[in-house]
Amino acid sequence: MSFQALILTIFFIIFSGHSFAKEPKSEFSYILSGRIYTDQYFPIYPSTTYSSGIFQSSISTWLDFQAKFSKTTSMHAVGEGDAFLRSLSETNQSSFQGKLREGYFSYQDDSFELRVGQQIIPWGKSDGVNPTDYFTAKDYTLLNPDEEVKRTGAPAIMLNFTPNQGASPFNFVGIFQGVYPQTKLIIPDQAIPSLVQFQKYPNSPTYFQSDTVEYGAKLSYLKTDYDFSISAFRGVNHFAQYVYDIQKNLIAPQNIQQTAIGGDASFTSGSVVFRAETAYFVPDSGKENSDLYGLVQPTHWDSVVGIEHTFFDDIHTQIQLLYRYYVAYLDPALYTTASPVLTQIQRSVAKSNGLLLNFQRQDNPGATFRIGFSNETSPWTADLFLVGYFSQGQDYLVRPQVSYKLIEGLKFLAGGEFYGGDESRPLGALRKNSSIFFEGRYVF
Amino acid sequence: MNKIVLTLIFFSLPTFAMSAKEIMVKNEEARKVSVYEARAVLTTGNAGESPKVKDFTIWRKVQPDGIHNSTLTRFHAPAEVRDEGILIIENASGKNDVLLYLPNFKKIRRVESQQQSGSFMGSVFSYSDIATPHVDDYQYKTLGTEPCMGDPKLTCTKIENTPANEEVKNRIGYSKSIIWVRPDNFMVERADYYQTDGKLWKKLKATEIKIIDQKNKKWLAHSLSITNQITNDFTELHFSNVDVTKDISDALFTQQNLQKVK
Repeated sequence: MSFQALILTIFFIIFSGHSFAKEPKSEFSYILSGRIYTDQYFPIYPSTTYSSGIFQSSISTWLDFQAKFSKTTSMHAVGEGDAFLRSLSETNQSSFQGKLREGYFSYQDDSFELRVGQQIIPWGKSDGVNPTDYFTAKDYTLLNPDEEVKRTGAPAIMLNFTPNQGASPFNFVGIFQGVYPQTKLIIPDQAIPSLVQFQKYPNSPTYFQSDTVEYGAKLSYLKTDYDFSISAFRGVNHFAQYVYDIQKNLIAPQNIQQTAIGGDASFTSGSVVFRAETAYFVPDSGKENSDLYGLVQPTHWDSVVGIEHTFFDDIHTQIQLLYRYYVAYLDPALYTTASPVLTQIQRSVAKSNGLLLNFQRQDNPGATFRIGFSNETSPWTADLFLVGYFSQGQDYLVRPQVSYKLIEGLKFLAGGEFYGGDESRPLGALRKNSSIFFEGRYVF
Repeated sequence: MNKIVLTLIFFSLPTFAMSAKEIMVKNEEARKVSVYEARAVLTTGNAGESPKVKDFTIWRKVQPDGIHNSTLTRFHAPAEVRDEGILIIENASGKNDVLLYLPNFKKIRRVESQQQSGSFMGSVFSYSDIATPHVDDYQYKTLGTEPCMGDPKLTCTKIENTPANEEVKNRIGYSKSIIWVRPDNFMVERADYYQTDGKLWKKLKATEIKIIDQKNKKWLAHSLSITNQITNDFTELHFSNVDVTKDISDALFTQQNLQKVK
C-alpha cells in the first residue's frame, strides 16, 4: 500500500464514524489566534568574512487555527510568514518565506490519540539539550531568542495509546515521519574545507523514500510524582555532514541514516526536580567497517543529568551535566588513504564534520546552567543560560535576556548571545557571530 | 421575631456545642464534592492598573481514599496561556504533585513543592490555595464567635488553623489562618492568612455560597475574593456552569491527559 493510500485509509477510518468513535456528536467550534514578532540582531565583533557579521532584521506572523469537529475529531494548523533583511552569508539577503509549521488532523478518545499531518514532535525531559529528540530539527540560521521558534517538524503519523481507558500509567507512542527535517546551522569559516568545490547547505530530501523516512516508538511509565521512558528510533541524523564525492570532485553535505535507543526520567523530591536523558546512536556510516569511518560522526552515547530548584519562590535555577562518548573513535587528523592529496581533502572534511558535530575528541563532558527570575505578578522576567564544555580547548555560550510585558499579550525582550573559548571548538568557532538582540512580540 | 430567634438558636447551637475540629470535619464534608466540572474566571489586579482576566475550565474529583482531590485546570484565555494545563494531585504525605503543561514547548514541567506556595497563574491565590485544605493538615483552636458577614443574623465561629507539621507549612506558605465558619452550611465565608513571620498576608471573602448537590448536601462558594494586604493586589475567582452530574474518568487526572488539549 502506498503511503498516500495509507493516509486516505486512516482518514476514512477517522471521519466515517468507525467504531473507534464513541457516539460522535456534532459540536463544531474553532479558535483563531496568532502572534506577530519582530527581531533585530546586531553583531558585536567586526567580521572579516561576513559583510556585517550576524545581522538580522525580521518580522514574522503566525496564525494558529484550531477546529473541533466532534468530541473526538479535530484539526490544528499553524502557518508562518517571515520577512527578512539579513546577512547570514557573504552577501546581504532580503527575503520572504511562508511555511506550514504544523497542520494535522487528530482523533482522540480516552485511550487513543491519532494525529496525521505536519507535526512538531519534541521528545526529552532535559532543558535545551535533548538526546532523545529524534524527530524534530532546528533552524539556527533563523535568529530568534525562543528555541521553540527555531524548531521544525515534518509530515508524520503519531499514535498515542494508554491502556485501561487512559487510566493506566503505561503509555505507548509510535511515530512514522514521511521525511526527515533538516537542522540548519550557521557554518563558521573554520568549517569550510579548502582545495575542492564546496556546497555549503544540503539539498532538500525527497518524501517517502526508504532513506528519508523515520520511525520510532516510546514506552513510558507516567506517574504524577515520577516518570520514565524507553525509546527507539530508526531514521536520519538531522545535522548534515560533509562527504567528498571523488567523481564530482565536490564536498557536499549529506544527512546520514542512524539507529538509536534511549530513555529519560524525571521525579520530584521535596524542593528539587531531577531529570535525566540518554541515547545511544549508531550511524550507518560511522561504524568501524564503514567507508566513511573517521570522516563522519561515529557511534556515540549522549547523556544529560540535571537538577532544578527554586529559591525565594521566584529565582529558578537549573544545572545539567552533559556527557558524550564516542565508541571506536578515530581522530579526524589521523585519517589516511593511499593518496596524500585525497588524505588531505578527507582530513579537511573530517575536521569540518568534527567541528560542526562536536566529535573532535573521544569524550566530551560539559554542563549547562540556567538562572532565571519570573514572578507571575511582575511584568519583568530575566534569564541567564550558559553552556560550556570542559575538555581541553574549552568553549562556551552565554545567553542573557530580560523581558518586559507592557500590556497583556505585548512583550519586549533584549539580550545577547556571546560565544567564546577556543576558536577551534564548536562554540568558540562562532565567536564572530556573537550578537545582541531586541524583540517585540504580540500574542493574540 | 420569634422566628428569627428560633433560626438563630437553630443555626448557632450546633456550632457552640462542637469543637473546632468537629466544625472543620463538617466543613470538609460540606465542600467535598465527589466530582465536578466548572467554568472559572480569574480576575487579578491592583488599584493602579487594569485587571487581568484568565478564563479556564476546572475539573475536580475526590480520589479513591475519599479524602484527597485531583484537580485539572485548562486555560482558554488570554492567548498567552491558551491551552496551558495544570494538574494537581493531592497526596496523603502532604506533598502535592503539581504538573504544568506548556503548549508552546509541547512539554510537561514539574512544579516543585516549594513553588506550590507561589502565585497560581499570576493571581493572589497560590497553588496550595487552589488545592483544598484537609482536616488532618491543621490544628484548630476556637477563637470565639462573630456575626456572619454574609448574613449578620447568623453567628459564625472564628477558628485559628495552624499547620500540623513543617511539611504542610512549607507547602502552603502560611504560619496560620483565621477562618469564619457559617453555622448553617459549615462553609467558610472569610479567612485571614498570615505569613511565616506572623504578619497578615491575605484576606479572603467567599460569597454566592450555593448548594450544588442537593442530594448529598454539598456546597460551593461561587465567588471568592482575595486581597494581598501587603501589595494591595486582588484576585476574584468566579465559578459558573458548575456540573456535579458528569461522569469524569480518573484518566482525566493523568500526565498523559494533561497534554491532550480538549
